[in-house]
Amino acid sequence: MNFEADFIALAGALLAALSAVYIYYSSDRKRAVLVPLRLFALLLLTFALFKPTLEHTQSFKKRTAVAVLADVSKSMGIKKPGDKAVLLKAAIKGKAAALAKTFDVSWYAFSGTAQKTSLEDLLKSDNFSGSSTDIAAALNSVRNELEKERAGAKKAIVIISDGNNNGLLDPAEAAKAAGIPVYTIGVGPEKKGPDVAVKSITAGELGFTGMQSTVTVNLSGTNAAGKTVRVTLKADGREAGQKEVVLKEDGLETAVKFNFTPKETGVVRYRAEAAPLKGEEDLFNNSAVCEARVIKEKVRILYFSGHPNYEYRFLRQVLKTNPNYEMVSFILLRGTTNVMAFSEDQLTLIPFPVTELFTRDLPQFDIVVMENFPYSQYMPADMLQGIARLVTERGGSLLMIGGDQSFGRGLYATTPLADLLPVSLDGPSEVYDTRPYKMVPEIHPLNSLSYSTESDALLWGGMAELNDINVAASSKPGAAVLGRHPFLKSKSGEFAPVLAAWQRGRGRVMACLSSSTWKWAMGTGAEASSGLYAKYWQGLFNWLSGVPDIKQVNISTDKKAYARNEPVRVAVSVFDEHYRYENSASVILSVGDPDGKKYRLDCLLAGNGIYECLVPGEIPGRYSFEASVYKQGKELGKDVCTAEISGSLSEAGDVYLNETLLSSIAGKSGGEYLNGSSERAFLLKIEPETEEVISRTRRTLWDSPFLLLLAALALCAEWYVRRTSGML
Amino acid sequence: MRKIILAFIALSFVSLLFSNNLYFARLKYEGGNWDSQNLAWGELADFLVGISNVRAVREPVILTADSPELFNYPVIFMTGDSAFAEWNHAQIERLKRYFDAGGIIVIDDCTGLKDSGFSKSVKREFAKIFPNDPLSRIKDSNAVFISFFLLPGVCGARQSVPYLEGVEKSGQLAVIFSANDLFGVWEKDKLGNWLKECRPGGETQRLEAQKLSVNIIMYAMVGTYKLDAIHTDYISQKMKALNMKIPGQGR
Repeated sequence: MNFEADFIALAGALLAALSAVYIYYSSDRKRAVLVPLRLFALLLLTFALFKPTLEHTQSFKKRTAVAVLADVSKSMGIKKPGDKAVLLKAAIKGKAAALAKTFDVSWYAFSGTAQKTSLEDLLKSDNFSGSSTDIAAALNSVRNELEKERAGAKKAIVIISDGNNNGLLDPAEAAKAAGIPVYTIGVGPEKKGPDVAVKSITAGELGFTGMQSTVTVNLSGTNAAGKTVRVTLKADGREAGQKEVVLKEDGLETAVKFNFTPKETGVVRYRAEAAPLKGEEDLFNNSAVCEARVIKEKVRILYFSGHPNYEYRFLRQVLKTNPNYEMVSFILLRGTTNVMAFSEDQLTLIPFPVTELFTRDLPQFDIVVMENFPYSQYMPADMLQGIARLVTERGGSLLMIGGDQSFGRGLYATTPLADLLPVSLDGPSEVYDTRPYKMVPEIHPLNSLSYSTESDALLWGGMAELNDINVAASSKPGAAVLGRHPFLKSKSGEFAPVLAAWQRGRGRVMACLSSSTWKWAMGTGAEASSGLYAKYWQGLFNWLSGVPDIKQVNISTDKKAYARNEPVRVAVSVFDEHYRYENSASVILSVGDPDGKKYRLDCLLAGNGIYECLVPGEIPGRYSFEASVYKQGKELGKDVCTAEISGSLSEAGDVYLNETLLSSIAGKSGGEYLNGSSERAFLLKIEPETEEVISRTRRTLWDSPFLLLLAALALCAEWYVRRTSGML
Repeated sequence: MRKIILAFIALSFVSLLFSNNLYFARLKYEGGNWDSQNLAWGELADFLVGISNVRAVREPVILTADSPELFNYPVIFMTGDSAFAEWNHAQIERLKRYFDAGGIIVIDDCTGLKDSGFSKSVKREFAKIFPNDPLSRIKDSNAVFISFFLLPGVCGARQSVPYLEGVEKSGQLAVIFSANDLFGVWEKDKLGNWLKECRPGGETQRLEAQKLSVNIIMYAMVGTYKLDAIHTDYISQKMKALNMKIPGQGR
């Protein structure tokens, strides 16, 4: 019984009790009958003030739900050096069956996924042919089933396996996330002889032709501490290096680094092989592979700045932190009119090698940046012809950045660069406006800062104001205007372009008509630095340099490796010649499966120049994809990529028991690991049952008419006694 | 000639509004004396405009850590001669964001003394902003020492600490701290006389301090530009001749 009284009710009760005592002592003995009656009535009312309720609970004991997952993958069917299938069955038959006496047990067979089965079928079956061991996937599906079917009951999962997981997700993390204790029982022979395993091989995703890349190989040993092993690195099948390494104690990894200089662009496949140790039986884990994309050597940027300024400092920071770029810059720290009271010995200024740069060295560069650079003070206009040739003939790029000595004001309208630029220039009287404004970005792939147009709009809305612009006469037909001024108009009547770009001949040209984009980096102070400035300029420089991720056609998969039968999502992004999203192309995907079979699929438009296709990854190994894109019969471009389907490859070689993984799964989920061959196997500390409340009813007593009637009767009786005794 | 004069005036006017100008944005703070060295900036601006392409503006701008305009100035200046009050949490967080975004602060202790009250306050507050990167000695090979002039040493109106201190962030200095009353060497009275005597080196010391001021400002405008290979070869030869530490080494 519960009470819901408050302090006022309690005070009332005390008052009533004291009153009764007072009446009792201040009256004669004739009133002895009256007092109990009144006290009774008062007690009833006080009782009601405490708001008593009557609660009735019905419950029963529920047995803990235990799901037993038996590994039926290929590795469990290996007969030597120990027959794991026999060990598994013996473990189940002897002890696991006893679980059913205490727990509510359901049985599952798992490899890639978990399938419900019965104890009898498990014991009868000799089908150990699962092509993968994906413990995380099996755990997740069983957990979901238990949640659905055994809600309210305590739950536990038991995994009987050799622990040779080859799924993509970390099973220990999956077990931890499941929120159910996982008990693991290991079956299989323990590794007795020495073993060396190549745990991983990693190379930077991007390499450059002619530049050294580092490939790191991590090795670990079992029963092999202090032993020397020879590791060989192969690149596309050819030996690229060999090293000897001394293995650390069991469980600890040893890293070996190889330097390799790729000579050709494309995808390079690295393979690390560890030579077998004397007496080593398990050779399957002695090698591993990875891939890296190789592009041409670093992009070389030649940067001219008219004076020390923040635009240079912030852009320099962006370019210097990108290993893909190598920048040579010249800032005019001192002008032709500056008076210098110091001798040259005290200065660190170097001569500006105009002639050498513009006549001899230009072809060595991929991108030329001219930022508020007053060329006319240093060279004749004809010398700029070299930049025009670099762009149109050699496929180089030009970026001109604004300022009071740039574009029309910098007398560029009459130079060979005027034709290259995507905007038409005014003469020296070109308007240079220094009022603050927010650039209005156009919807364009180069302006993409996030995953969606809506999100881009929000991000651009939060960018700081710029505060200068060279107002060009107009943007040229065919140029992609990336951003405009919100209110200033060009002579052509359009809102003045702030950023514009186009392709000229073999090269690319961009005009940034403001020299205050560094304000995007500083931001407004309202939020932490978002890095959008760097990201945006990296994107613009990537476009200028033509690196692979901004080719007209780009193919990619959503993951690098897949489980068997998992669909491979292939996405092809397509831009038109002005790098706007191309939504009316025809995209054909040529698929090459690991067995060498080839077939073609059509990709469908998924939005904003992205075409998608799902390829079933049925065969373990490497799939190759080539996208060919056409528009009105004309080929826009091609691109290739690969994806790895994991699964059965390692199953055949997983001979031994992986106790480390099974212990980790149990440890992280709050369960326990036991060896299947030990006496203690299946003596699991699973809590046997849980009490489940099935119904709880509550009845309030204080508002019962019976209680009020009883109080009224007591008072009426008191009144009657008083009346008959003549006490009224 | 008239056209040239008009063009010069127009250019000067544009210059005043230009976002890439160097403004001496001075950080005002509670307690202490934020307005010390208030006569230095015009003189320094004139010097910079005279010898270099830096577009320096004579009139300083006054800011606090809370000012909405703080982020318009990628370099700010802080001077003082006595201990100052602690910055509040919001100010510390704002300054953290300022440095994250790429801002640089140049701090000068006008007392010219090692471990002055001002210096202690600076270190106390910057330990909150950069809890893992305390102010530490800037290496002699840093770009700040070669950004315009070749500098054999560090000084100001005083010479109590023979080095600059700083905090590096993303490969460039975010904080540059001088304990030698560096900007004091620029202060003049109304008659054009230097206000502070430079001790112990006299006018030679003043000149070296002025060169260091220019270098720091040049660094704030162009970063590590002078560490590019194209410069270091040339500078190395000069420094070798002067028996100075080669730039870029030890970084």
